Amino acid sequence: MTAVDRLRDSRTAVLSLGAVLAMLVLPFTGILSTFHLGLVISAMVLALFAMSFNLLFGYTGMLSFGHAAYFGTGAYTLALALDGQLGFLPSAFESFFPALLLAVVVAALVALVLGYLCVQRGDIYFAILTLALSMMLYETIYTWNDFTGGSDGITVLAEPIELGGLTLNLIDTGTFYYLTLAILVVSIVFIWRLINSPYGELLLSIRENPERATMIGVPVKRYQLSAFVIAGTFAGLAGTLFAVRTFIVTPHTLHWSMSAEPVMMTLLGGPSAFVGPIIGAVMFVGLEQFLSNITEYWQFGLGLLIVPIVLFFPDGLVGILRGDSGGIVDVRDYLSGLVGDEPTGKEDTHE
Amino acid sequence: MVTLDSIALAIVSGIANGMLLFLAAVGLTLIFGVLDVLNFAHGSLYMLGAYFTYFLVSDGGLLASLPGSFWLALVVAPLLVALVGVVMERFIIRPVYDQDHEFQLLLTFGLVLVIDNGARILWGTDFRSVSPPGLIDFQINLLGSGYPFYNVFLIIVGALAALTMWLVFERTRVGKIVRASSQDRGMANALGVNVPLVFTGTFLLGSLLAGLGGALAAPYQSIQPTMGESIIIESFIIVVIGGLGSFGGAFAGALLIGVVNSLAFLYLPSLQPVIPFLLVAVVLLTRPAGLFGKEVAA
Amino acid sequence: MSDPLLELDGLTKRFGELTAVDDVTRSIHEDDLTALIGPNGAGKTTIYNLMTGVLSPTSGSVRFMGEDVTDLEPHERVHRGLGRSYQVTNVFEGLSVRRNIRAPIIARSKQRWNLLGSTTEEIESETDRVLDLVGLGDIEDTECSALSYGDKRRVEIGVSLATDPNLVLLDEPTAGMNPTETERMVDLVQNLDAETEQSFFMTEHDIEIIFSIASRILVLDRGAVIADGTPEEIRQNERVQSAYLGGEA
Repeated sequence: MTAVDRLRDSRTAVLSLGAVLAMLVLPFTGILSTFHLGLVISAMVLALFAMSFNLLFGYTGMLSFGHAAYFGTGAYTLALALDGQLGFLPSAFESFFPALLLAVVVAALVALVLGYLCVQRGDIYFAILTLALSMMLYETIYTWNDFTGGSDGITVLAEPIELGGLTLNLIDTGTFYYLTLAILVVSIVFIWRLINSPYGELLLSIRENPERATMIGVPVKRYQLSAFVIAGTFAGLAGTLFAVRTFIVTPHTLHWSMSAEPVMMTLLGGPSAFVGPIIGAVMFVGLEQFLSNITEYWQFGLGLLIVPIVLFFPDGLVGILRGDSGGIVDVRDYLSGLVGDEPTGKEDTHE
Repeated sequence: MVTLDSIALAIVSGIANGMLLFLAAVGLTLIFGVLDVLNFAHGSLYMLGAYFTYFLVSDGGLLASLPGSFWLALVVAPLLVALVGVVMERFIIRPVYDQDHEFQLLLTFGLVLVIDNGARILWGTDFRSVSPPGLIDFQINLLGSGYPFYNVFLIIVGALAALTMWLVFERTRVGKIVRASSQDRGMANALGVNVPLVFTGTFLLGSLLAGLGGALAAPYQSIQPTMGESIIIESFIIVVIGGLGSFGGAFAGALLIGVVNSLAFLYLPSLQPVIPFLLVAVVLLTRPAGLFGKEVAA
Repeated sequence: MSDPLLELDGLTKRFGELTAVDDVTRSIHEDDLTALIGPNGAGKTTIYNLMTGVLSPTSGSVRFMGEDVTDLEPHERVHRGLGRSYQVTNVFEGLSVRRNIRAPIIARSKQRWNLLGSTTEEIESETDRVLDLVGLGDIEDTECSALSYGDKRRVEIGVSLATDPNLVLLDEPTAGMNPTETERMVDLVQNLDAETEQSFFMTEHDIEIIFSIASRILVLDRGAVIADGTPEEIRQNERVQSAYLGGEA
């Protein structure tokens, strides 16, 4: 490790510690109303969702358009368990933490089954299959009225938790804020360790070049599937928090437009940076507030943003702040290309 | 009740629906085969085809007062959709032809959000409908039951479109040029083929077919902004089953999904959403390259 | 003669009507530096893909160090000691040179399923060893995308060596190189062949290089081996001359 690395590491440590401290005291500062504190909770939940997505996209090179399947599975499992609808299980699962654990395990299992199918062919099919299979799950939940409540969904009422003499009332915004923060911080540390582990290094080799990764002895599909399951697990965890936060779980939590959210957050913040999805989640919640005042179909605005971001700023806000947009197309080249007849970059010989 | 007649009727309806699926899926697979771009927004073009038809023929529409307005709309609406497709290709997709697939997927995914939500903003979420033109708006006697002739009409048009495309791609010089461009851009370019023109033309044709599918669907199903997402997901299932880039795969896959859906809807309604999924799973596990996928030399 | 490293037995691959590899039966031995040559389209790449498991043969088998590997996945063959380098540079562009070399070493260690820990001292020292072997130690922190073509090709070879292969399949190691880079690459291959336990099997379009470093040459034409022998034997073989020079021979 060089001196520069050590300096960077210690700076990261100081910054992270500072961020956690700031988040810890934030509710006490009084600068945020309960409504705004709620928005911060939403941003934290979505940040976890987006980070789980970027474990696939940014670190393994797998672009999933169906990540809401695992988010929604987590949310539904928690809601069904708390509601006492899973009668075949011990009644202990009707309390929050056991239900949470169950929800995460179910999300992981669903990710294992669907992921196994999704990684069978190359990148294009992966994108197609993640979307198609997630929508299949959506349709199933939507039609399975008796069990899932159909389009009405299920109300989520988390009873207060007794924890060693302490009573946690999850409906209380302040309490839920700290629970969410704790889960987020632990997850971030876990994902950080993961991408810096030997295993994570092999994921990077798959992102860079799956064909070559095979030829250095990496069982590519098995690694892709394992990453998919880990990402699905964290998405499920985010889904459970989302369910408690919104008090209701509807089929929308598995819909493709929900899958679009982590894609968008990651693009906004920047997929190449670890903190990209977190920053993106904050931007996303802000944009949602702003745009949903204008139209109910606010994702229209996000769609309009995606195009220039992908073309000119694929490293998102982090890239712009770093002073390196990473753009695959230069804005000026693009504009002059529109005027001239010759399109840009057509020399590609297709291999 | 399950009778041979009712099964036969369900199969005919499935084929009719399969033809619409084919018109959508074949454009998707054609654009992928030639341009190596998967257009997520292809279903949105289909949706636009249906809305354009509606606005052309409904009261106050541009063609409403003309005789045979539906037949005119069947030509005009796909052309309008093709125009949208060409604009899309020129301004958004062309800059990323030689980039990783993920850029194209993200860009066209962004387009889905724009077009589908744009439709909701402009036209609302209410269902709309178009009546079939009087000429073909009647029932025929099929196996002893009254059966809408429009479904038969869909089968005829779909089969004609498939036959025309097959003839063009297999038997004409244009078809050869397109196939050459898809196999080796560099070589086609060196041989004097105007590759960008071929690409734009292919995108235009694919969009035109999606628009035609949407226009034909207008009297067949309710017109709403979500019809784009439904058709693109079904098209995805079709190309997974048939193999991306395969013309025959798109045709067989579309008919298979159409018929299976139709039968499942009748006899296993509660399992209907899961059945295409099971088909996909079986194909992936037994024929990893798709039913029509071919192994290629490196 | 020692036991063969690699044995191809009746190996055949058809794509539809086209027979790309036609009933090839050959053994590759440890003591040789074997080269495979043949005109464009003769089936060299297909043979490579059959050896490494990227394609499965229509019929016939591949044995490696006595074991039938025909039905093994590519990564399983790599674990058994069959390494490959590519004609077009095929490295992990966005990663540093060190990480490029370290990845194969992780992949063959028990650390490959270490999800939360760090790399061990053993992995790091093995990485250092391979970096020294191919002379990349001084640029280990550079991202591959920033390297010169020649350096990238050295990374390419280094990545293959880092899988700890018994046999390395080199695909046109000097393709696209300038004379200086070519000379350095030929030296590298010769040194590695002499000094390490690895054996090499290579294709190369530059026939002069083949004749100067290979001890045995296989000539492939239209999917079949039409000649097999020492460089001198191959030079004088009439079928080889007619395959390369057509009717003029």
